[in-house]
Amino acid sequence: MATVERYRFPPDLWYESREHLWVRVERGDAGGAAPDVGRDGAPTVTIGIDEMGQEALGEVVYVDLLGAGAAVRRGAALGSLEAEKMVRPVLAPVSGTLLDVNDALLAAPRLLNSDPYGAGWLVRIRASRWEAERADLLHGDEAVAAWARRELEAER
Amino acid sequence: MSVLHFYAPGLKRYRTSEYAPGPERFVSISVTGASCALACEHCDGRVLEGMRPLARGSLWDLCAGLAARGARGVLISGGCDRHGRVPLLRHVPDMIRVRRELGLAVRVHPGLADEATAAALAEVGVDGAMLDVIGAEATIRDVYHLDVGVDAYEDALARLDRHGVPLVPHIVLGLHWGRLLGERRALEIVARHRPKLLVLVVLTPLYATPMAAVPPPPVDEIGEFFADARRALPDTPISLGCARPLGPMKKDIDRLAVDAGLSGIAYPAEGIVAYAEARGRQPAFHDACCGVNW
Repeated sequence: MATVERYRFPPDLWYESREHLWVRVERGDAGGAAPDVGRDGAPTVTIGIDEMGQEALGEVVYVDLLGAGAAVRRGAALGSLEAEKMVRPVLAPVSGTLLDVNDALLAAPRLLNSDPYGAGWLVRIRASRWEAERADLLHGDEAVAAWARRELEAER
Repeated sequence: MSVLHFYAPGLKRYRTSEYAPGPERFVSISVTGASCALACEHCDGRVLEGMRPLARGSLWDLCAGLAARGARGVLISGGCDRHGRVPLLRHVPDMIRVRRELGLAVRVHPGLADEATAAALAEVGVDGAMLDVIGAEATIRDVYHLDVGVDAYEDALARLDRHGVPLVPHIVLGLHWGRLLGERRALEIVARHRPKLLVLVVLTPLYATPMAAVPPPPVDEIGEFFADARRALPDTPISLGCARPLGPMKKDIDRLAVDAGLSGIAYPAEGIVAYAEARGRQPAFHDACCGVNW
């Protein structure tokens, strides 16, 4: 676990640094190591906002997301977040097909603040270009901590 | 094709697929940090949290740093004292330098400006003085916790106007726990004082305030007020300001603002630029408070 000041970054996640999104590769069986993949071999990934990102948002008031089945392209908007301190689109960190949207979050947007790595997740995507696109994500405590420190420094 | 001005002041980070403001072009500063003596029921100081606090050093130092990073204007704001005044006077010498030496546009939140403050703001050459005009004694007393009458707002506008300070009055729709009460009287007051522009905002339930669970006024009442304001001030620009409920209601309110022929919208909801264009309005984008002149 990378921890920078009060922000935690779980080690199993990948991080999209510009948008403060996290990406988790879902496992196919409980506790197993193999990823949950579709027939084309593309893994299922869950997307959320990291702790530093959620704090910058302030209290989240409204979440709008595309519906399941939508095709998403990396960098394109798959929804938007409205919070007291910020309004921003949610830009897909990977390309693929939207499998699932967190309905509980749509009903209770503050879950994103209270449990950003758990109940506050945003969407699940079948990541069709995962092998290529993951190269642009950060992974591993050392790289993630260095990035988080740079982000904090830039804020000061 | 008439222009519809879209604004993004520096009160929050804002980005949609239609409008992505540049970084720190216009910055809101609180000279009191998060402190406010009034602790109004709808705000409780939360609005100040979105501003840059003047924590260390002078206003000049802060603004010089912002200008060096590309800022073109500032809003000098802060919490009120017990009399509804924002303590701006001691910063006036810095504000004069900020205006003349840095060339920044300076907007202010003076609150109920007294004579000395009105005269000083005129000397600064502020781009505009913004204050909420309240038209109901009960709202002033019970929401703002102020011991003054409606005439205090009219007097403050008159004082600023007499000194030649451009007026940018705001009217908050639904300030009385979600109910329209003094808004139309406030509109009458504003109409008597030649504002540079009028800004309409809507009660926004803010987390951790006494009004956090208060529903805003119904959308149709908001639309009726937009139309009334347009009729009352036919030749004055009217903007929909920063504050209004988020989510689906924001989209509805923004559409009503376009339909009513308002001249500006701050922080437009996703899709509103396209909505306006489809109705023959030409969009113009300004990374600043409503109506700021660079």
